[in-house]
Amino acid sequence: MEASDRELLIRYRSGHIEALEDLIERYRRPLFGFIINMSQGRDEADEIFQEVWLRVIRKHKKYKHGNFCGWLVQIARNVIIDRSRRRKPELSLDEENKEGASLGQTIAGKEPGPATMLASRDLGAKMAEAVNTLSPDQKEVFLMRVQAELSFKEIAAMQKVSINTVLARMQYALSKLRTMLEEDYQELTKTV
Amino acid sequence: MNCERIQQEILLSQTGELSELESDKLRLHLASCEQCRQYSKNTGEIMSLARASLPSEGPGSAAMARILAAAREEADRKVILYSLPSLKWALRAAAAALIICGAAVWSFRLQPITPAGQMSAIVMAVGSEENLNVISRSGKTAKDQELQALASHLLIMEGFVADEMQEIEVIDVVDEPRPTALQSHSIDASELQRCV
Repeated sequence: MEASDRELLIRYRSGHIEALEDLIERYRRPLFGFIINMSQGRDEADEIFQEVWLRVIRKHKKYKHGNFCGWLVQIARNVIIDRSRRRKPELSLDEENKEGASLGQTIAGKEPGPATMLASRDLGAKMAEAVNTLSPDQKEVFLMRVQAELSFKEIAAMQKVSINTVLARMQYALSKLRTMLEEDYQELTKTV
Repeated sequence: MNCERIQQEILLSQTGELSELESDKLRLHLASCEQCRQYSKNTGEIMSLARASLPSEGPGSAAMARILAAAREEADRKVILYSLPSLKWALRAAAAALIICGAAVWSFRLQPITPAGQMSAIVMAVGSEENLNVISRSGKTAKDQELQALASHLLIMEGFVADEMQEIEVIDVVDEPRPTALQSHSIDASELQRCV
């Protein structure tokens, strides 16, 4: 029977490094999938992934119970926010312009991000491009749900909003993706 | 039926966040609403498509190696810290000293210190058991009075008031020549014997 996250963590705390390797492997795909689609490139995604686990190594005693993947995503989110602040400290994604749109919403629809270029398949490229056009909040909700498979309650706690707000963001994200991929939708659903 | 609310419930049902009652109500609604059924199908397909096609492979081997190296370094650091023998013994000694000091302070505070107790202690300290006999106050002799005078003198020297003399037991000592004066506070057995 597979060891639970808590059991692996206890083994790691008692000095078994291989237990940490098991945890990293278990959450490699959902965590890295979230990070790479939220960051500026593979190099940055690698650094963020590394930083997340370094924080886990230093502060693993802070984890008591609950969804371990959710805890990892929370750490990743904090690292991503710290990096974005260091990159553009004078800009606020939430500050609104005269039309009432925030900077985050304005820049969301610009050129496709690096995630688009990383996808080897055309299908992946189109999907990545579409996801990159979402607003930061919608994109975060969508990726937390799709890649990290977090519950809406967990996502609401991380974004510090109500669950209804999170659900609304997810609805808008799905609606926009459906619209953007309408022409290829039938073909895309057939290939899956 | 509010289809926007139903759409949210469809999303919640995919994560298992609906109660059993809510799930049953949703199932009943979907059985009769084609639009909501189509929405449920479409959201599931988009999410499956995204999961399958969005980039998620990684990280690079160098990042993995650095993570494991950091984990080993942290583990080694903890082993060194907790294996220092001097540190362990120092901690144990400090803990023992604290316990001993605490016990000493606690026992000192618990002991009642009364003038009678102190006086008895002084007399007991200087007299031996075979030379001292406790007698009742009803049978006071001249010797008893002298003894009482000596006791009161000692108490005055120690800073006690005269009222507390009533509590003192008169202690009989062996007949010895009376001393002329007490030279200091410290009293030994031979001096006490010379007082009476």
